[in-house]
Amino acid sequence: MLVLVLGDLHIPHRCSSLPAKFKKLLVPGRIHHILATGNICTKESYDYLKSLANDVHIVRGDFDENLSYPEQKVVTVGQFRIGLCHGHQVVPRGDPEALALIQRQLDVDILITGHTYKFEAYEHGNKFYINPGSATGAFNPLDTNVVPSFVLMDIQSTTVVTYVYQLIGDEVKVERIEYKKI
Amino acid sequence: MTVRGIEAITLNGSVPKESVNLSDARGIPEAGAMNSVERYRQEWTQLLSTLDGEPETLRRAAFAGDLKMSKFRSIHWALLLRVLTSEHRSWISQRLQQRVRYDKFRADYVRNPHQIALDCNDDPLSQETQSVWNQYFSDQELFAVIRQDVVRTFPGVDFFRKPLVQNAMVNILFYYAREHPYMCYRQGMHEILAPIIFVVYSDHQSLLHFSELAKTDINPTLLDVLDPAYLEADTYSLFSRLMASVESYYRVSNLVSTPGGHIEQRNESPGENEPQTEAEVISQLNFIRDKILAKQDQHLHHYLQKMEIPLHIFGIRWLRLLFGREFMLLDLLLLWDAIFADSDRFDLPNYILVAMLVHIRDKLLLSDYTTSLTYLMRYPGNVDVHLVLRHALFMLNPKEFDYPANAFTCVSFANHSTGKEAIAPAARPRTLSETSSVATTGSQIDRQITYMQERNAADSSALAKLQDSHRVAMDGYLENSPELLRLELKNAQTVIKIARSKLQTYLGSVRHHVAKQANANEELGRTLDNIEELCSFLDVKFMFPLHARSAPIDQALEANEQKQMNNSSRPKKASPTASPTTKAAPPTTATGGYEMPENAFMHSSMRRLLGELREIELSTITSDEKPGSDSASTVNGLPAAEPQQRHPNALS
Repeated sequence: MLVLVLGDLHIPHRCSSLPAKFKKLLVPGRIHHILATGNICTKESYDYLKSLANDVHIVRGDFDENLSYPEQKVVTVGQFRIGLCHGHQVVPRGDPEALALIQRQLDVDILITGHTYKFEAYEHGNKFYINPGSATGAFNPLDTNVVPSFVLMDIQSTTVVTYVYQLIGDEVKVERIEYKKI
Repeated sequence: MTVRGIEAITLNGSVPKESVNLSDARGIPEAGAMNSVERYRQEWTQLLSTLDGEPETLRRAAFAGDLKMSKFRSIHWALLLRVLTSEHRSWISQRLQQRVRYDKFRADYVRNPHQIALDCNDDPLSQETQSVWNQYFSDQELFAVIRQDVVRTFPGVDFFRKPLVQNAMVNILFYYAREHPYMCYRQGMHEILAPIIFVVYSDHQSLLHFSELAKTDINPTLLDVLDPAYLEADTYSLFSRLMASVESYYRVSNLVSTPGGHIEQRNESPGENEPQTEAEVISQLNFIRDKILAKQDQHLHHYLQKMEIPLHIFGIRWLRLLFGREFMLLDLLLLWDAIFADSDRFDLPNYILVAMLVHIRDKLLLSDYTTSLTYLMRYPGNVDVHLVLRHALFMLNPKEFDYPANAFTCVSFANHSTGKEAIAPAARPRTLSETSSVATTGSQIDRQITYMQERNAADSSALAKLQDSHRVAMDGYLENSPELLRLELKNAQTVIKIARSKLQTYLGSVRHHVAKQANANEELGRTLDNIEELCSFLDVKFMFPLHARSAPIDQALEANEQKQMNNSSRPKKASPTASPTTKAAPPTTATGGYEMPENAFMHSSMRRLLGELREIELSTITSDEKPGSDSASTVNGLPAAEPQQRHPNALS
């Protein structure tokens, strides 16, 4: 089961579109679910995601036009409970202990957040935390040099293999991280 | 393994005798069962001994259709297609080799990137051709395409609804596509595979059945060669061998194969620009048309060209599926026996295609464009497959095979007319009705038949139109429609007339030959008289105006409207129908057959008849000199218009 995780697109406010190299990779028919961490902003971006996979889950970021998206969401894929939250509610931004609080609130195995514009994936207290970064490499007030990145999770029963796609220079770099549920 | 095979064979000779004793010992109730086992075993020993003796016998048996009841048809096919060699002692090792190869496919081609450990360079979104992930997703799509077709194979046959069979078929087709990337999977292959898997499966089942009955003493070679566990592997080897022979039907010329993945992309592209790219199968069909059909049946060849029906409209499907859609499954197997037995070059299908065409030639020649196409697209189901097969074999190799006796009576008057014209007038008996039929010889009859064919074509198109309009308007009244009945009767009448005129011609020539022999005995003469009597029976006098456009039933019209209708429509409409009768049959009888619907109609038809009478007398003289111009006018121009144009001249 392939799950695409991405967010903080800021199209068209901060970026015109996804990098062409990413667009080439994202073809319909391979991805089963999409989890978006918010700030996809416009309906057009949502429609684009919908064209990649039928099952799209979105939480609300601080720049989303659509106010009906929920603040938090829990999705079950295979044997994993996956929590989804944009992260602008978390103070301090991207703090592991603050995120662990949300993880306990939602009671999930994997917590996915955005808002830091920086890719991160780590285990903390036997739980898995993923931040896909910004798929467009949109700037933020603290950092103008953002590396575009998104995450693809291959979920097989009790194992998650996470592939991280980063556009460094003009090359797409892929990293692989494995997480096993205990 | 070979050693085991030899042991099996040496055992084999003595087995049947033992089993006879066994069945005797067990008593009467089990005798029936043992007998069938015995027969089964006997067939097997016979097969092996034939292989030892003269393997060519198998080929002849396949041609003759003797495999119909065989329990080892799949082995026969394997032998004919040279999947197994005639060296039956090594069958086990041959099978083993094929099965190992097939198992390797599974390891090579089905790799699930979810489970296996991968190198770091590969990722699920990779577009690289070497990528396992990319291959995996291509395969998924290929599987979906294949399954879509497989679930629809032979919708009428329950056997193909079994999940076991469907899965096996999907796997086989998939491995074939991966093994032959230049062919990939193309629609139609599943219908080639279906009969094969059916045959293999039934052989397996009968083996299971008999080994259950016979408990232990079944030949180990047989047990191994027909092992049900290897349904897929054994079917695959047959299928891939067969595909090697028919792949030219499927090959598409302009597509360049890419190594590795992207199968589905190549798979979709040929669908769109099919007509231009399928040069190979079309050139073969053209070859069939120009070299085989033209030689065998010139009339039909001309007809198809005149109608502008190219062979590939139906021929591509016939060839690609090896006639799978045209015959019932069991008939099809019979046909395939012979096709496999013929040669690797697969010449026989070409001749079968022609034989099938010739077999429905009478239907084709008597119908118009749309009806012909319907016959070709939906080949009539009542065709005797033996007849088609034997005719095809005769065409393929006239020296070895006889012409099927009860096959196709070709109406090629053009060839025989000159001879008959000389014979017929002298030999004709002098009956009243014969006065005109003396004239209707050779080219006359030919023209007459062409005329009737055209009229029939017009009728059936009218019939089709009528049926269509009725279907739209009111379905229930279709059966009873007087118009429909009239057309059908007319059709029947035309057939009777053709039969009669032909019979008369034959009778004439027979009489002529008999008369030449001095000692013509009395009995023969009487027989001929009887046949002649039959002829006159066939000259049915229809008691209602079949050939008038409207039935005697009055139409519901306003009083003044009716008059106008009659005045305007009757003479015009009556003309195409009144004239053919005069041409087809002696004028005297034709007029006798008509009731008098209305005065106006009668007058016009009488005038027409008189005109026609003169025309016939004229044409008999002219036809001998230049039949070409006459027949051309009937072929090209509208038959209906012809008499009208001529009347003024004839009367004046």
